[in-house]
Amino acid sequence: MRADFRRGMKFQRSVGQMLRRELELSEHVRRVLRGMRKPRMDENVGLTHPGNTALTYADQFAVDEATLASGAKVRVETFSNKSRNFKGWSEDDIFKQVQADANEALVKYGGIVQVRRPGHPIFGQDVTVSRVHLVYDSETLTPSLKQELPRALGKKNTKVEIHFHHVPPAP
Amino acid sequence: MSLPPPDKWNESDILDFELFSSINPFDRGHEGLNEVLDVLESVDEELRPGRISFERDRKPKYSRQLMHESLSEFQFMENTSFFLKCARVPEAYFDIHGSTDDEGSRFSLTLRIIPFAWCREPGKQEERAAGLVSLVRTLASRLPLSHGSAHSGTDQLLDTDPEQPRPILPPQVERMHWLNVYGPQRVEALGRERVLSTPAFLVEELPHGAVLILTRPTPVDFASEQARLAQARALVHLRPDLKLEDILSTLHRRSLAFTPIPIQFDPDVADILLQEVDFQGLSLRRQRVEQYNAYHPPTVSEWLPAAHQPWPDVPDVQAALDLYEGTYAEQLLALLHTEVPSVMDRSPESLPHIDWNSWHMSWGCQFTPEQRSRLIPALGAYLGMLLVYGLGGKWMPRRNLDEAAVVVGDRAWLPFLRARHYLQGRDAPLDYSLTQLFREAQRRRG
Repeated sequence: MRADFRRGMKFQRSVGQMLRRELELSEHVRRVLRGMRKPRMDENVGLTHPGNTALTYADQFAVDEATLASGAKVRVETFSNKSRNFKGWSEDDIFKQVQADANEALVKYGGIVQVRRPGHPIFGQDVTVSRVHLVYDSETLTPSLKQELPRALGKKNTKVEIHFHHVPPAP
Repeated sequence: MSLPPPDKWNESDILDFELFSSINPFDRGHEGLNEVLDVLESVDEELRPGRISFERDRKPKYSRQLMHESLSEFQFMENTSFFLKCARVPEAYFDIHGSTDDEGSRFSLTLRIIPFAWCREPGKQEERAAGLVSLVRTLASRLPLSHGSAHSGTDQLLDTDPEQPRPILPPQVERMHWLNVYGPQRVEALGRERVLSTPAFLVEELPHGAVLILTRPTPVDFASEQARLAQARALVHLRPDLKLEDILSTLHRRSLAFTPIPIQFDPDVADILLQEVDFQGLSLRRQRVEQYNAYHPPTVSEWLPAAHQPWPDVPDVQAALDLYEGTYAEQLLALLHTEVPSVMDRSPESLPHIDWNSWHMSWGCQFTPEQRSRLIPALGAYLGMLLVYGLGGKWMPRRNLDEAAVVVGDRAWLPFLRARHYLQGRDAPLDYSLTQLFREAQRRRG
């Protein structure tokens, strides 16, 4: 159990690093944070939904600073990391789990949210999440599954973008 | 190692069958569900729904009643979605979905026939193909179809850019599958006369303006010359802007992926490489086999002549052996018993599984120095124990673990030093595998 928890934290750190590296790239070159001109990324951001005081924590939370001025609609994207081990899973179980993860992410990190971290540029404002992302550890997913999973979500018109991240080898 | 027969080479292929409609039958709740179940229950006995897939540990036997009782569980926001496992093709399943939102309605019926070999079963190919065609007709009689296809999943993957997911509905016809369904919009865009005159094994009008085209009688020969020619001819008929020779050459190139080549891996690590090849899947099989056919690990260097092995310098030899066998080796079992169940056998047969797991999970570059310092004794002790109990070796413990050895015949093998090398880089578990050392020791013993 402890090993799983450590694995999850390690994965989350690695995804955070990957996204932070993307911040330095220009919009056209970025692979994940593609919808934002000037993204700002924070980790473990507490969010509430309207009418509910319970907090959910987005693993990573990105806001486009270019939309913060001038009353433009604020653009916000949320990330949930999944370091799940799919080894030995049948294909239908994998597809079903990913769909369930996507549904859960839409509820917890999608729709209208309010950032509850004091000091955050949009603290206390209700904003609509423009895109919800799921990032999976790619280690136990075969190359063909990594191509088929986004398509399976697309067939069902699921509005969650799925990515696969491999924790890069230590130097 | 030799030339695998084509059926063995291609055994991990999947038949990917999908049909789409822009009407969502679940808008009509239970009545719509009944219609969908009518269609699913009409298929080949072996493919008929056998179990309802809830969670990994909850897959009750399929029944209409349970399906209706579970309808609310299948719903999430505007979606209705469920997975059904096929009755007698254990890994095959249906993935059914319908939703209606402000963008419109949609329905998809996906059938993944795993393994593809079910379609290839001698004596049953035509019958099984006919069953799939029949499924198209049955659904088409209940719902207007907007598009659909059935074909080798791997062949489709090979045709896809890994960076871009395969579009649900490509803007233009890009390739011909074994089975193709064009909805009225596509048919009108291409020209109905043109579509109906496609050179193909079967062209059939479906209700509501859709058209079904089969390039061949069955899906199984998709990579053959005949089938590629049929696919190319049909495509060029529908897309006169494309050139037959170019299409054919692309298709023939893809067919290479399904043509076996001899597997000639280094015998000491063949078991490890085969696991990796299997994991990478059929679309990469040929590439990987070519790559690994050329690979040889370095000669094992973690040994001394037995005469040069220093005597134990530990205060208590028995305590050292208890530490190695009782504590360190057990740590490897504790660490790996879920990932690599065969480690519980404490047998040489477990070594290639351990090695592949280490290599694939990047053990060679994942760990901090502190974690490595705990893994090395565990790996080394496990390997050492196999040298002792499998080959009649004798421990020679040392304070410095790198110097500790198991003497087998005229050689002193250094399992902890090997474990240190095993964790020193990305491919180190392959280059310095436990398997190779054990096999070398086995050979030397005679």
